[in-house]
Order: sequence, then C-alpha cells, then structure tokens
Amino acid sequence: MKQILFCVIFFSAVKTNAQFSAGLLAGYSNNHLQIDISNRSYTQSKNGNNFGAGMILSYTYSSKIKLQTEIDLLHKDYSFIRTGNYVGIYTSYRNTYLQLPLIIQYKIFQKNKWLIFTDAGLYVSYWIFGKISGVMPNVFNSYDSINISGQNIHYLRFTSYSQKYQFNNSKDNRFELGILAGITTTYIISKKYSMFCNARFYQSLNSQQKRYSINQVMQYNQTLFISVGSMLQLHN
Amino acid sequence: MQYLSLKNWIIHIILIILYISCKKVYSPIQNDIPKTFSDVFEQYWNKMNTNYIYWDIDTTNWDNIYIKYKPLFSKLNLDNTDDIRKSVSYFKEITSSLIDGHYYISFTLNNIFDSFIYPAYERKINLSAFHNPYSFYSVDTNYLDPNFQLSIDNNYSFSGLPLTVLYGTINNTVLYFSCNYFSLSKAYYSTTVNKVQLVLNSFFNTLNNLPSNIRGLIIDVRSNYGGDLSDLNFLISKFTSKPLLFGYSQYKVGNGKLDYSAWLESYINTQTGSKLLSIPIVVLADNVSASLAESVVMAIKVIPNSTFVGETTFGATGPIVDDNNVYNDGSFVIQNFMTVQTSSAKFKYIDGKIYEGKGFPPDINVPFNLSLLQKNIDLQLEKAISIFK
Repeated sequence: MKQILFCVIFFSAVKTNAQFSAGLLAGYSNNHLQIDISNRSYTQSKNGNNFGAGMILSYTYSSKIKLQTEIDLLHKDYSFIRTGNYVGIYTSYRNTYLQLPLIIQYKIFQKNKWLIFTDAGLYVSYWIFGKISGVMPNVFNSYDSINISGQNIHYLRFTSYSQKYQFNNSKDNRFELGILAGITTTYIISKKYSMFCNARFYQSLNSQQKRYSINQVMQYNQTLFISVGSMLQLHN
Repeated sequence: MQYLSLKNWIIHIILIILYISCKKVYSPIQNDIPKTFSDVFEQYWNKMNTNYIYWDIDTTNWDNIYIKYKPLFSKLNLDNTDDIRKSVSYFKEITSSLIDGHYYISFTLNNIFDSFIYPAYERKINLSAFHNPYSFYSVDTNYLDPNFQLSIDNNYSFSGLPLTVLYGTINNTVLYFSCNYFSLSKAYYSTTVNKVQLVLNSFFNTLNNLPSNIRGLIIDVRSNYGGDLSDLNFLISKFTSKPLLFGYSQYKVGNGKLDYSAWLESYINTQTGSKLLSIPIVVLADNVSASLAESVVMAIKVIPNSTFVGETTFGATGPIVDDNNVYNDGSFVIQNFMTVQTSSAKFKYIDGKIYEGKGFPPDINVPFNLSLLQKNIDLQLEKAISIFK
C-alpha cells in the first residue's frame, strides 16, 4: 500500500502541463524459481510459461527520460518435474500476481519514429491467486500384476490433481518486492498514438516463503516478461 | 550531466540484477559422512526439517530443538564412547513427542548398534491399557469348527515371527479370517507352493460361493503390525464390487517444512471378479494393530454393515514406501551413524480426521484381558460373534 501511495503522490506532484500518456500491454511471461533443490533426487525445477497484461501510465519528464508505472496481472509459474525412473511425476504452481512497477526509461537510441529505451526500476507485487496441480504416485491407489515369472508386482497408480492453492499465512509471503531492468522499443504512429515492444526482467528481492524455520531453503521469483502494447498521449 | 548519472544508475540496477539472479541459493542439506557430532546433529535436524511429513500437525517445536540441542551436540566428541551413548539419550529427548507412529531410529555406529528409539511405543507402554502383542490364534482355534485351516509359515516372517494365517467357520454360521502380518499376496502369488496359498484359496472360494448358512464375516487383525501395502487391495477388494474411497493421502513436494501436495483420494481398487459381500463384517483389532492393519480396519469400516470391535489401534496410519526416492520425503540415513524410519505420506480418513499418533477407535470397545485369554476365553471374539446372533 505504501508503494501505491508513493506512486499516486509522485504523479500528483509533477507539473500540470506534463506529457502524460496511458496505455495497455499484454505478453508472455517466463518465470524461474531461484531455489536449491539439489537434495531432492531425480528432481528438476522447470520454468513456467504463461501470460501477463496490464495498464500503463507514463510521464515524459524530458526528451530522454520517461517515468512510468503500471498495474499488471502477471503469472509467475514454475514446476518441479521428476526425471529418471520417476518421469511423469510433477508438481506445478500457477501463481497470479498483481504487480506495480515504478520505472525510469532512458532513451538510448532514436531514428525517425523508432525509439529505444532502457528500463530500470523497482516493483512491488501481491500474490493474488494460486493453483497447484500435479501427478503423484498414490500410495493408496495401487494395483497388482503377475509378471511372466509368476511374481506379484505392486504398482502405485499415478494420480493427477489440480486445485486452488490454499494460502498458508505461516508460510506464504504474498508480498514481493524487487528490482527490474529491461529494454523498450517504441514506434510513434502519430502525435497521439505509439506502439511498443518491451522485454523486462523482474528479480524478486524477498523469498516467496516467509522465514518460518531455521535453515530454511528460500525461493525467489525471476520473471522475464515480453510484452507489446500501445500508448495514447493524454495531452496535446 | 544529469543524464549521465541516470545512465549510470540504470547500469547499476542492471548489474545488481545480474548479481542477484546469478547468486546461488543455499541449501543446508548435506549427505556427507559426518566428522563431528555437530555435523551429525545438523544433518539429522535438516533432514527431519525437510522429510518429516507431520510438521503441520505435530506440536514438537523443531526450531527450539535446534536452539537447545545444537550447543549440546557440539560439546560431544564422536570418538568418545560415553559421548556417543549420551547422544542416544539426546535423540530420545528430541523425538519423544513426535506423533509419527512409525518413527524409529536405529544406529549403525558400533558402540550403539543395539540402541533404538521408538517414541510412539515408549508413549504407549506407559498407558495402563497397553499390552504386548498376543498370539490370539492359539485361543481362537478353540472357537472354530474342527475343519479350520492354519498356516504358520517361517518363509514369510516379520521380526522373527512366522506369518500365521487362520481361516475357518464358527458354529457353521460365521466366517473367520486372521493373520498376524501382511505378506499375504507375496505368499499367494509365490511360485513356491505354500500353505498360505491353500488357506487363502479356501477363504476366497467360500467368499465367491457364499453358503446360505453364513451370516457374517470376522476379519481379525489383532496384534498385526502391518506389512506389504499390496495386501490392502488384495484382501479388501474381495469384499467390494466397486472402487472404495476410504481416505486421502498427502506428500511433501518441496524442501520447506510445510510444502505439501494436495490431498489425493485413497481407494481400494477392485480386481477381476470382485463382488460386494452380502453379509455383515466385523473387524477385530487391538492397540498393537498398526500400520497396514489399521488401514484394513479403516477400509472395512467404509463398507456398509461393518463393525469394529476391540481396542483403539496403535496410531501408525501413514504408510512407508521402500524407495525413498519416490516422494523425496520420509525415511533417511545419516551415513555411518543412524537410520531414521518415518512415514512417507500422511493419511486422512474419509471422516476428515488424521488418526496418526492417536489410533482409530472401535465402535464397540472390548479391552484386552490376558487372564481370560490364558483360560482360552477371548472376550473380543465372543463380542464379534454375538453381533451375528
């Protein structure tokens, strides 16, 4: 909330004849969970691919600098997959975050109507929804089969599940604070309209889990978000 | 100048991101052979922290254990015999309140090879109603009609006790089946002919062609410690014609103490030719009926027209799988020091309750009575028989 308040105050304080523009963006998200699972045998962490979308408010401070904020809905998914003899077993997390970045865009290139900016900034996000799904060998859902030697072989059935993730207040850290960097290329269609393509990397600075145990293995979201969008100049 | 400093600022942000994103997250879990008692404790504590399945319901404060015992272990010397023995007493204290009924520590270090820690058993033996396992078959054969079949097979033994399977009828109206350990399917499907096969074939044939004079079935798992998971389907599928939902199981899916999978439905699956048993079932169990024996009791209780007679079971309802890699949780080893046995999954009965550490309560409580058993009187069995009258 503090961050949202800061943003509101920031944009209220700028000069009234400022160049404001608003826009929409949508794109592809690829999230990596930064974690050490080396102790978990035959297990790999796998990036999650999904999408994100948002609204933009941008303020042109000067010919080279823009200040921008957004309200984004961004997926930060990941999964743990089993390998070797355990292929087919996995746990997948689909996590939806409401994200508010504060970005400084610095123009590094311009040719006619093409502009390229570097982006850097901070973000805060809130984990609003989660879904857990997976496939597990179910110890109490098994069957037996007689092999050619006449021996009885006991098999555990793979059971799939998919359900809403139940947040645990002791464990889940729903607020995420991080830093971002990226690059944006913009094409000015007219005096009022422009289109852009953006690639941004979000690095969480706090763990997705609260520190609820000694020697806890922490985990951090790292999200690549590639989006396209358009902007509308709000002032003449 | 202003732009230049801003440019630098952006470059710094990018460098910070690069540094943080490339920084390795540290995992404290080690598998090396411990060189000191600090290593032993650290490895044990971390593996428990990650592998133990009951942290969400166990009241043991594991962080406090770390704070209290880490300095104590660091004072011990791994080359000193007295210190090694002292470590066993520390481990006993540490584990005393763990609810896992399967929790068992055995030591691989020479000086303490004969030591073991079994917290659930330690707690149970202090209860006035607790009794040691009893060989009921020696008494119960007196209740059976003369054509009963008894198999005592040393090829399928558990803790030195031979697999004992008893089948017969009581007053030609009630079927009776008991076993002291679950290794039935292994024996049944063995290519080596054994008497367990004969007993089971007689029992199953009778179930498939139920005589009209039979009014009920008694399944006796008293003093049965459990055994092979495959026996659950093998036995209970003979009583039901469709998959039987009897509870839910849950597993660890991450390194965090509270990283759990969803609850998965637990089923008894039918086999070819399975049909619903048309007669009521009474299941007998006592306070040393544990593990798979408790699963059998709970599964039977889901079948309509069934009654549980006896005592509250042991309370080791979470299963153990042999291959620890399947779930990456449960049992673990500290090389050259100890082996820790603990449940691989958590089990929740269909009523939504977890009976781990508490035991599953009977519908009709009939306490164990050693003095009457020594006079060949089995009150629990008599109560079961009376239900069919």
